[in-house]
Amino acid sequence: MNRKKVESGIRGFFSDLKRTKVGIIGLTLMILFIALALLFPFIGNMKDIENWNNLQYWQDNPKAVPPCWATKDVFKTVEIRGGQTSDSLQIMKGEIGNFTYVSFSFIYDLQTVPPKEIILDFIGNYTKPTYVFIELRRPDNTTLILTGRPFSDDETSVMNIFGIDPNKYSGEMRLPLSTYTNNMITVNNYIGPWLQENNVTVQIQDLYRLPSVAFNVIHEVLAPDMLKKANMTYLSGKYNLTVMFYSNDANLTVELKKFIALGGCYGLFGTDSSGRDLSMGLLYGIRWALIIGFSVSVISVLFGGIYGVIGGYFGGKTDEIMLRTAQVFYSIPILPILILLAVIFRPSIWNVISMLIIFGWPSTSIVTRSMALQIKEETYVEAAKALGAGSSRILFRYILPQVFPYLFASMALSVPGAILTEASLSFLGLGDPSIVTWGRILNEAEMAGATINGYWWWVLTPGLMITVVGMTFIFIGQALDLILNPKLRR
Amino acid sequence: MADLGRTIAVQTISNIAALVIIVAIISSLLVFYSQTILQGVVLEMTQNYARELARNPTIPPEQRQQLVNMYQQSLMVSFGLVGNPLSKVYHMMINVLTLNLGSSRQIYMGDSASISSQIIFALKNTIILFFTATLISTLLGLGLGLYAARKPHGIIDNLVSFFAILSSSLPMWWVGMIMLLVFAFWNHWFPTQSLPVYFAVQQLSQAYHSGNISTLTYFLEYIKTWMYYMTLPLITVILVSIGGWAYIVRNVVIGKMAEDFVMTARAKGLTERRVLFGHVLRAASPPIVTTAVLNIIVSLGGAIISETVFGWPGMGLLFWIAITNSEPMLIAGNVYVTVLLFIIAVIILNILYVFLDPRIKTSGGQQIF
Repeated sequence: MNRKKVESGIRGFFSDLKRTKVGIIGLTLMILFIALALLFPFIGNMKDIENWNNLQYWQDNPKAVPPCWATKDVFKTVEIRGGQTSDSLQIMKGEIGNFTYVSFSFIYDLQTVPPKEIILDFIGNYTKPTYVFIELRRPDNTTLILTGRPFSDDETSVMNIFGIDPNKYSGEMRLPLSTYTNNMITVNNYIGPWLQENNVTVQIQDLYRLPSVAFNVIHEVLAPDMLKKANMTYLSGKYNLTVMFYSNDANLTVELKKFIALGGCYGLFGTDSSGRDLSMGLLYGIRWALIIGFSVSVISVLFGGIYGVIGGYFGGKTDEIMLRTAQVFYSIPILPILILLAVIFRPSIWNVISMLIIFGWPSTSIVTRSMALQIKEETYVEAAKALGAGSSRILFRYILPQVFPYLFASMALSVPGAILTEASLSFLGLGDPSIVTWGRILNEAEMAGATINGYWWWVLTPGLMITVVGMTFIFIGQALDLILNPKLRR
Repeated sequence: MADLGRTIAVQTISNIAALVIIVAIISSLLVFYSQTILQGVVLEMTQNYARELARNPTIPPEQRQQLVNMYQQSLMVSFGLVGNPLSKVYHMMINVLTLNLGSSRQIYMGDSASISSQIIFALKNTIILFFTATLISTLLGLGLGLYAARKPHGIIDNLVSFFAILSSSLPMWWVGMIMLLVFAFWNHWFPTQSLPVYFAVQQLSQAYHSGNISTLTYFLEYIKTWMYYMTLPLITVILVSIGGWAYIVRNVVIGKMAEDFVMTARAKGLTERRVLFGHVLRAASPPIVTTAVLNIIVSLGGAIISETVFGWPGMGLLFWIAITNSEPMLIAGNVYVTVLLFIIAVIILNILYVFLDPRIKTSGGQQIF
């Protein structure tokens, strides 16, 4: 085969492919997927993928929230970073007596539902005991005080809120507000009394229930029987959350790192229960799916094809032994074996790929063997033999080119199987833990009880991606099949 | 006929060879795994012993080393780490082949910790689910495929073709998850977990035996309980396997319809129904039957994982439980039984094929697997 021949052969092959409808669909989708895989660094965020296993990286994202297009009535995320000036942020500094204080007031707008979480993140520096004061001024002009009052006997130390050394500290101070409000002590000391002050009937059993819902309750419309109602009515309007630090230390400095009021939706594809952006995982999954699909199908089909042709051409004992070997491999179900191997060796993705190749080639070889049996009886092969051509010349120049179209079709058709098997393995939690694949995302969804909790966005899209990529290659394979077997065309 | 016997024998032997090879692989993996773990234990114990000795100043260093070596040797013997690894693999092979794998740390299924009884319990449930599913999908698929073949390029035909493409790239377990979301989470029609099925059945039989309900209501309730827990997994398996299956029937039948004997039958003036069922279907039966059996085998792999999604107490759930609890023996037993099922199906398939297609009897040597 000289190069020109191969080139024109491939070109002819693609022009054939373009003639059928399924071929066009398949080819377009395949090019699209390849482009998405190659261009990921430009479309997606490589940092997200690198930090996929670093859950701290994702802590400021809302957890397990649906995509934004699928939700109405959600709180839209508000984020203010340090150094930024914003209408929603007021910073005050000053001195009262011998106390130095820094206070931050954040304003967030509640339209229908409250934020899922409010994250307060500061960088502080002090060398003397320091205290915190937090209050929430609500649109109905009631004020909820969440800590002890300043300059009184029950001042609240930074240790109680941020869990840091109250006497001397320098560094980050981070508080997810709902973990503070949804707490037995906070409910007993501040939220319960505040509700009673506002004429809400608080029974003893409510005090036990409140810690799981307190963050939402403080955003509710106040009514005497509000705790008895099953569904909550939220008070809409502008909320003003004030956090004040004060200390004897004249050098007290506190700077805002970020303030985030987490919304109930995220991006185009939502997030998982660790707050990871699913769109990045889905997009990056294309890369691995294509790598797995292509490498397994191309190598196993090429090997199987050549193996079968050699067996069929030589015949006799060689053929018998080769065929039996292939049949032994063919009757081994791959998934259970892969499961056992994965449990014992904790495989890398490359091991999985090699196993898929080792067990994937025999089906092709059995078909190409019977093709070779037919082709070697053709007159042009006999003519070549009579002219004194060697076995390898006949094999590679006369028989293999005849088999190639079939090989292309079965390459395309064996891609989905490889992707599916890897996904199944990952779904069982036995995939390569260092890479992001769709099977792995589905495994994490299953582990987090996505079907029981109704996290549909977490389940639907990865499976759809597997299906669409699989179908792309089946389309291509079908189009090739139609070209090769005109009989099917009727 | 001697040729026929030889064909079947050769095929069966090569299939059994495959089984033995797999058992050898499983056994060597198990031996390797347990050896590595035990070696770690021995190393740790020896180091502890050496540390103990080092605290005793009356023993000279050379003697100390000797004592440590002796201790290590005795540990190696008591843990079975000495000796020919090949003979160990051989013994393990015998154990795996007879499913004599001891007990798991906990009872995961059924009422005994013995690995073989747990696997048999799970196997029974898998067979209940997949036998029903395959029966239904085979019948439905046959009907659909025949209908599609009678009217090529009709609506049903296009639907069947599209469905075939779709289902060959659908992960069955993912379809199961979607099913759960739609019918268990949103609509509450079916349970999210099928695991309590045995409890429910047991309660029912208790009520029956204490005489609270009549035989008829017991029977109806019994069926109802099984259906309540089994419908979702059943529908999932059928949905995913039926497309490809109907498509194969369609293709085989269309291929046969183009042959001369159909023309002859039509020329004789037979009704289209007689032609289809009397002539075409008979000629098409060998490939159809083989694919039916193949279908069962192939669906087993994907179906096993779907079981974990539904919590169906079968082989798949046992796999999942064994993996999450890291029970290598249980996994190995499970793998062996799955492979055994597969290979038995393949052997049956080959014999069936020889009997169905008379041409193979004389030509010999041809085989699907």
